[in-house]
This record gives sequence, structure tokens and C-alpha cells, in this order.
Amino acid sequence: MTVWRATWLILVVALVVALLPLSSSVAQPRPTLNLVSMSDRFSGALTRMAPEFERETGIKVNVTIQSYAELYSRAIADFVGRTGGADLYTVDIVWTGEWGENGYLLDLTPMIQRDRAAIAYDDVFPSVWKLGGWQGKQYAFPLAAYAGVLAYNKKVLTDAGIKPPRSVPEFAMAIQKLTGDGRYGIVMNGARGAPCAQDWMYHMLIHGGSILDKEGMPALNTPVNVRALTFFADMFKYAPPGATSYAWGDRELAFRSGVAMMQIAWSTGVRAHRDPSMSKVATISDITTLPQAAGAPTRYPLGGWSIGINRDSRNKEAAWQFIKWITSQRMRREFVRLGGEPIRRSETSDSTLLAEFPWFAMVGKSFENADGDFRPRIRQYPRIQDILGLEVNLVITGQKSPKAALDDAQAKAMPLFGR
Amino acid sequence: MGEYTGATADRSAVAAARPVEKWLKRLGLLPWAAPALLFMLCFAFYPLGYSLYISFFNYSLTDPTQAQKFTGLANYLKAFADPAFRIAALNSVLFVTLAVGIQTVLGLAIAVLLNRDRPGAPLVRTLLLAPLTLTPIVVALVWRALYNADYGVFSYYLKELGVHIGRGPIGEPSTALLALVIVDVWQWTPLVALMLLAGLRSQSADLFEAAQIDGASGWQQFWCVALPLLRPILIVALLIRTMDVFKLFDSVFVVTGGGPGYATEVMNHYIFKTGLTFFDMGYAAAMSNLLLVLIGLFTAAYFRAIGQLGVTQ
Amino acid sequence: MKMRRRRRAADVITYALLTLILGFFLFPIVWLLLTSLKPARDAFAIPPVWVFRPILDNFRNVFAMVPVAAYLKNSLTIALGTTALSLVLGVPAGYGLARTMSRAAGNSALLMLAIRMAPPVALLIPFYLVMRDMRLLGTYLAVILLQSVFNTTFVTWMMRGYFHSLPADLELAALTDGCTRFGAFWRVALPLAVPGVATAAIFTFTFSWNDFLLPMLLSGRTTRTLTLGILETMSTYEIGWNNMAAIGMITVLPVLLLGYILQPYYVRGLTLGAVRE
Repeated sequence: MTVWRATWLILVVALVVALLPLSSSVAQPRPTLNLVSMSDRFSGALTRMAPEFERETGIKVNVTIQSYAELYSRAIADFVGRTGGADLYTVDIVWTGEWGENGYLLDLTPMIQRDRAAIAYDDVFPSVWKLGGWQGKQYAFPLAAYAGVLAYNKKVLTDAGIKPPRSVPEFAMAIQKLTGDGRYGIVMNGARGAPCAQDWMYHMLIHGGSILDKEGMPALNTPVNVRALTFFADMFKYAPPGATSYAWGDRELAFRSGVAMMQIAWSTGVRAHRDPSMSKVATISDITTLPQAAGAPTRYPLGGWSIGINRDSRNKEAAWQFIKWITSQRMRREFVRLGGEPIRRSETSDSTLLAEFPWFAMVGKSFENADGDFRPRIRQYPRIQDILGLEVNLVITGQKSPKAALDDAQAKAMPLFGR
Repeated sequence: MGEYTGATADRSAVAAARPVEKWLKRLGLLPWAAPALLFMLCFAFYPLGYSLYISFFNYSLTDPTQAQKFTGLANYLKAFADPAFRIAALNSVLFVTLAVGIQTVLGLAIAVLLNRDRPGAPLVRTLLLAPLTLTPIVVALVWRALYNADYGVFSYYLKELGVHIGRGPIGEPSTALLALVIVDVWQWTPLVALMLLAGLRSQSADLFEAAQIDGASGWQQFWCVALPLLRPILIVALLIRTMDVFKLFDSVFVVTGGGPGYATEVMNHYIFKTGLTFFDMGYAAAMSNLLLVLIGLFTAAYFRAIGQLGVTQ
Repeated sequence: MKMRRRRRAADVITYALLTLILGFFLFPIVWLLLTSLKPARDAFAIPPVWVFRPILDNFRNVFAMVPVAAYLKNSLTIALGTTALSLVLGVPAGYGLARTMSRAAGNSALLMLAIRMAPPVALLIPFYLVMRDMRLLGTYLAVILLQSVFNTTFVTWMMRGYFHSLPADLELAALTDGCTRFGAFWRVALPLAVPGVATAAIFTFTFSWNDFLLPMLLSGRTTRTLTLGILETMSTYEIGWNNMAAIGMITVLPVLLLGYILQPYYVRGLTLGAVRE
């Protein structure tokens, strides 16, 4: 009987606990901002700086960190459900078109114009405004910009007498030469979905290809893209065997552990490359610009994250205040030090930051010439990326030929554009 | 057991004369299930009904116009023509067959091994509980790390043993599905084993003694006496596992994302992506209804099997 | 003599097999535990490092990265809430269906099973919209309600089986003594069914605790669960297997202990009342 009574008691308590939140969902007296951040290096900086913002302004910022897939699903559910679940979202550069065009995010243009001087508008690299900028409007404010770079194991390359490759043939040659003795010339993302689609787009870029044609329609199966995909698939022979199921973290690990000699990667990974506590190549790795196809102009890929306000936020002014604060020249140094990436000229030329992060000089140079549209930021991008994520993966796992895969991708992409 | 019906002794029903009371009497204790059924009506039938309704529409939540266009059976026809869905359906059935098959055989073997009262057997039984309480998302992540072709412990020892693993268990299209099946086998075989063990334990020793007197060998006793008696539990185990394996999601989501290529794309994951990543509601609803039908067909087959055995109740 | 040797050979084979089986089923758990105590650089060492000085850094990291205490509380609240609601609805339903021998009762039971079959994704999307309209998104209740849909069906089926196995004579006697039907259930049937209720409770709790898909869409900032926290520790650029293992251990431990402490109930529940005792 005692067991019975105890069980009963637990049940009653549990029921009460369960029903409590019903009563506690009353609006709070002072504004509290909910910020959903991608689980990326900069999310730690946001978490740690939020209390500072509260001390200065009295506005509390709750940072929730989510993985890429969860963030995308939940954000869209929040937007289309018009639930106002979060006030602020970090926005991947490739979501800009979809989130802006569909009106999920508040147009920040008027506020940016109003506070142009205060936010030191001209200090932000013009190309970096593509993070959140769409069709003349700014839907989100740049937060952490990444440059696409070639990371390489300087020591091994020098020992082998290989210079960082400048052209695609040189690149291919270096990759082959560096492979052997348990070492691999290169490592790429091969996992189905965003990982392999995005890494292939780097290679498409260096071959001089593009996703859309001049009219803005999909042009996935052009000869140059097929060539780029053939190259990409071939290079997996010189990558760690598991690379066909790698995502960013695995790829970075292969490079940091000294197994892979080169990778095309975002500059945000460099910090970890040089951290002896997690890298075996801390003192012997470097970055440079990407190799280029013959005749193609040098292109510097741009990626990264911006921060935008949910159109259904009930605290739009407070949210804007936070954006201004976290992106201000005053706070940026701390933000970058804690794990963020630069967006301003003053950050890539600042002597104290450069002392700590010497590669920012190259990153700054890259931002001056960056192409943020090699992955088209159009509304249909997430679907195109999903299609490519499957087709590219089929090619690198030997289940389809590059031409057939891109033909199929093209056929699947056209209906998204109403054709 | 069970012949007793509550209504006959219900005091309210003793004086049953009026039609309402008669009706109540016939209902028996069914009203006791009313709150649960009402709850289902609100939170299960409504969503399921909505899912059926919306499956006849072209309705994408991310479409700025939010238009719901009636398209009849178009979504269902689209599913049948969609190679991704066809492969996902095939993979699902293959996955269920493999996973449930291996779990049954392995589970039965373990149950038999543990049935004899050897020293240590209770300890093994206790330790076997662990996998099935473990959080599936953690299990999936652990196996993803173990399978990693270049850093994974599992792959490392396979290579040491001289097995050519190529791109690794989850990297090769030919082995990826099997690799996920093994994750499921790892987590749920103990469930099947412990269920069957409980069944073996409940069988009375007299039967076996009788069989022994009749000169049946141990093997014969197992095949001719124990196994037939075990069938009801076996079918319940198969039923539970089949229903759950069709709903496989966590390990695909975390380990392979459906790849390489289509190799591990299963229905539940494909529906999730269509519905909750791209918010193509009509199509996702149609596919989830088809999945429900598929699970229903399997369940009905099991019920037939149970019905023939006369152990429904 | 020959017989004995054969038996000993059989024993050796049996123990060898049991060791093999245990090795297979325990290895990933051991790996999880060891990785959670390993220094980061050893987590991916090849060949694998098995001997090392255990450290608690990973747990410290995880507590700094993820609000573990809050997530623990959320997981607990949701799991307890789901358990309570599913039992309150499912136990009487199971009783009613067990003590009614009509076609309607059989159909009701089958209906419940049909819901158990439904893929969660199918219910999730419409449910999301309903919760939105009721302004319940992001509350504990949203997650509890949908988890309870699946669990109530389970509890009903289990308790139906359990009450079937209990003789009705005692309740009959109580009824003749002037007890109400509810009184007979409350004072006679239910106390006898406590082991069954306990079993149903453990299973519901474990299911809810381990759930990932439903909280992923229905929970909110203040109600996120541990299962969601696990993925938060894996940054896109650095997969911290050791951090993942640490939070994985924190997630797994409560249900693992619950399973072991209440082991007899757990095993009984596995058979869903298919075995009569």
C-alpha cells in the first residue's frame, strides 16, 4: 500500500508541474530578446557578451544555440506559423534571398539609413553587406563573414618542393603528389546534402562555373560545371577514404590532424588550425587564395552569417539596439576575440587583432574582392542545394556519371523556377 | 479471466429498464475509456484528419501566397512517380525486413542461451537492458563516431583484421543501409531477447518433461514444444518492432542524412525533409498517409497471424 | 564420462557466446563513457587510446556551453508530465476496455493501436498549427500533449492486458458490498495493478526522455530538452566527440539507472502483457 500511495503522490506532483507553465506564460515586464544562433564558433561569443549588453541597457538577451538543420526547420516553422518564437535569428548568407523575399525578416534598410553614421556603415566591407542584403534591401546585418581560402600544410608542401597551387592543373598535380604514406593530398566534404553541395560549389567556382545563367535561370549542366564535378569526384581518390561521408567538422579534423595536406575552407576554421590544443599543424599550416581556372578572373568566395529581426518580433526596437551594439566598432574587437569573424575594414587592419590573428590581412584582401553570389542567394537556393547535395553525392560515390547527375539536377531545378 | 463483464454487476444497471439505461448497460465500462478517446479525438484524429485533407491540396507553407490549391489525387500520383519516394519505400521495407529478421533470430538465440540457469546468466540479462534504455540520438551519434572510416574505432579494428572497408561502413552505398540496420539491431535485439526469455520462463516444465519421456531430444523439444508456445510473444515482438522500425528517424538524421546517394533514404526521413524542412505540406501529408497504410498492412498481417492463433485477448 | 565432457564443451561454447554478445552490446556504451573522460586530442587518436588518465574537462566544457541544469529540468518536467497525463488517461481506459466484452471495446482498442502506428511526422505538422493557434507553442504542455498521444495508446494497451490478467472476483465482491464502481477500481483493482502501472510509467518516462523529434519542433527556448542540447555541443567546424560524449552520458544516465533500479518492472513491461504470470 505504501508503494501505491507513493506512486499516487508522484503522479499528483507531476501533474501539477506539468500544468504550471500554463500559468507562467504571462508577458514579462521588461523587454527580453530571444536570439537563436547557429551552433558555430561565434555563438560562444554571443552567449558570453549578452550579459554585458544587459548591464549596459537593461535588456536581457537569451541566446539559444541550434544545429544547422534544426535552426533552419524551426526558423521556417516560426516564420510561416507567425509565432514570433524568437526576436533575432542568425542568417546563413544563402538563406538571404528566401528569408528576405518571403518577408520573414524585418527590412532593416530604414533603420540602417537612419543610424548610418552611428553604425559606421562605410567601415563594413561593401561585399560583406551581401550577408543579409537582397535586391537593394538589407534584411539582416552582417555578423561574421568568412572568406573561402585554400588551407595547406606549409611544411609538407615546402618539403616536397611544391608551391601553393595557383591554377587548376597545378592544384591537381599538387594533390596527386602529396598523396601517399598515409597522407592525403586534399580533403573535401562528401556527405549527402549541404556538405557536399557546398564544397562542390567551391570547385565549380575555381573552374569558372556558375549555378545560374545570365537570366537568373538554373544552368547546372553546363560543360564547365560537368568538368568541375568530374574533377571534384576524381579528387576523392586523393582524399581520406571516409571523405564521402564527411561534413565540415570531419573535414577540418582531417586537416588539423595532419592527415590531409590541403582543403578549400572558410577562414573561420583557421583559428582552430593554429590552436595547438586541437591541431597537429598549429605552426605549420597557412592559407592562401584559391587556385583559378585558366583565363578566369581571380574569385574570392564569401560566406558567413548575418543577424536579422523576425518580422513578428514584439521587441523590434530593442532587437535593433542589440544588433547595433554587437556590430558596433566598439564591441567588435571583443566579439572577434571570443570567436566571431570580422566584417569591418577596421577589424582586418587593427594592429592588436592582427597580432593575434595575422591571417586577417589576407581575409581583408579577400573581402575587398569577394563574390558572395557563387552560391546564389535566391529564394530557391535551399532546394537547389538539396538537389545538388544528392546528385553530387551520387557522383562521388560512383553511382552516377557527372553529366547524368547534373542533367538530372537541372531537370529537377527548373520546376522551382516555374518552368 | 475475462468472462466477467462489468455491466452485469453494475448497481446502476441492476434496475435497467429504460432504453437509456439499457444502452448504458450494453456499453459496459466503455465510458472509462472515454477521456482517453476524447483526448485522441482532439490531438490525434484532428491532426490525422487534417493530414488526410491537406494531402489533396498543393500547399506549401513557404509559398508567400500561402495558396491551397485543390489537386485531387495529384500528390499521391506524384509520390508513386517520385523515384526518391519509391526508393525510400523500398529501403524502408528492406530495413524492416533485415532489422526485424536479425533481431528475431539473434534475440531468440540469446533468450535460449540465457534460459538455462547458469551462473552469470542473470548478470548478462541485467546488462542487456542497457542498450534499450539508451537515448536513440546518443546511440546514433556514438555509432557515427565508431563507423568513421578514418578515425572510427570500429573501422580501425575492421582494417586491422584485414577487412577491406573502402569508404567505410556508412560511406559505401552497398553497406550503408546494413550499417544502420546494425545500429537498430544493437539497440533493440535485447528487447526481443528479453521478451522471448520472459516467454520461455513462463512455459511450464511439465510439458518438457513429458516430451523428454517421449524421447524427444533437446533440439526437438525446442522446435516442437517451446517454439510453438512462444509464437504469440514472438508475433507481439515482431509487431512492436515493425511499427517502430518504419518510424526510423534519429539514426538516419544524425548518421547519414539518407546518403550515400539514396542508400539510406527511408520514408520517415524523406517525409520529414519534405514536410518539416521544405514545408511542402500537401505532398508530405500524402506520403505520410501512404506510410500509415504500409504500416497498417504489416500490422494487419500480424493480426491475422495472432487471430489464427486465437490469442487476441 | 563422455556425457560430462560434452556438457563441459557446451558450457564453454555458451560462455564464449555470451561474452561475445555482451562485448557487442556493451562496447558502444563503454566507448561513450571512456570518450566522455578522455582528453580531446585522444578522442580521435589512431590507433585508439584505451589507457589514459581520466579527466572531467569535457563535463566542465559542456556545462559552460549548454545550460545543462535547465535542460535537465525541462526533460524531467516533460517526461513526468507525459507520464502523468498518459497514466491518468490510459489506466482507466485500459481498465474499461479490459472489463468490457463488446465489439465497441475491441474496436476502441484497435483504434488506439492505429494511432500508435501513425508516423509522428504525420501528426507533427498539423499539431504544430493547432498548438500555435492555442498559443501553446514552446510550452511544456505542447510537447507533453503530443508525446501523450503516443504514450496513452501504449499505456492503454498495456493496462488492458494487465487488468485482464487480474481476476474480477474481488471487484465483484466489493461491488456487492456496496462499493461504487469507481470505489472498486480505486480500492481493489488499482492497488493490485500497481506493478503494471509502475511498468507503464517507466516506459512512458523513458520514451519521453529519449524523444528527439517532437521537442525539436514543439519545445521553445525555455523548454528545450537534453536531447536537443546534445547537438548544440557539436559546432559545425569542430565536432567535439568528447563533449558530445559528456552530455550524452548526462542524458543517458537517468534512464539507464531507472531501468536498472526498476529492472523487474522493466522486463515485465517488455512483453506488454503478452505473458501471463
